Amino acid sequence: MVTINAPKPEARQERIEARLTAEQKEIIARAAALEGMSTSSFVVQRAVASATETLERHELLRLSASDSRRIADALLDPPEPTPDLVAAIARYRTATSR
Amino acid sequence: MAVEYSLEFSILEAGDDLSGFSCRNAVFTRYLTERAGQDLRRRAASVVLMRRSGEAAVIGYYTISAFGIALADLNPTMQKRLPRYPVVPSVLIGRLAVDERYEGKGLGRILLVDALERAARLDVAVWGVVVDAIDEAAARFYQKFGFIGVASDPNRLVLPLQTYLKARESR
Repeated sequence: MVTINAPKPEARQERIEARLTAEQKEIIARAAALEGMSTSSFVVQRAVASATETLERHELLRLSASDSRRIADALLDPPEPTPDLVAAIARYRTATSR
Repeated sequence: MAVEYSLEFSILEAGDDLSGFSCRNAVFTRYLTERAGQDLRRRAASVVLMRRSGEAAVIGYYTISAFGIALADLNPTMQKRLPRYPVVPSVLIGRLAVDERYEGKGLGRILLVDALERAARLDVAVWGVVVDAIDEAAARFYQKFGFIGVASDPNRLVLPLQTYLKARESR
């Protein structure tokens, strides 16, 4: 019989240290307790979630369904340029002699 | 208001002297003087510098990077008309700033046009240009040029690149 071992969760070997106020620590400890987690697990879980979101924001704009329709309409049927945009291009050409 | 001198744009390279740049918003000053070099090495974003022709001092800059607009729940007809679904290839202009000694001369809009022009000249198909607006005044600035605000992310606005291409043709 072939047995397949479940992959071991990656060992938590790294440490991170951060200074914070007693008040901040208390808030985190209370929130962690409400979620039934240790303070350490809570901090790591939330920090990783927030970091992942930040990284994604640098690569992606995630739109809701209604924004998606508006923006897709604009991409497929581009609005006429505003007079300010046309004027800015003329200024740009003068300033860069293009 | 008119710009009475000619301007030059170049991509930030190692060795460019950025120390003299000073912007009213300290975040934009610090980015250029302290972090832009790192982004350059990590290839996270290109930084484009603006100078008066023949001068060394940087008087404005913007960042530009590959980006995507992630759409959701569009009907199949619309999905098929788009070049790619759900992520539409785009560029992000993450920061755009003018040196405080050069404010009020309309240089922000000239930086913006250079960014749009650069997006238009890319060899990869770009459909959308997305900007990060730091505050409401910045958002209003971009709206004047046709950028569309989105409720999904109030600090970001979108311009179809085709709108810029139309503007470029109309003289």
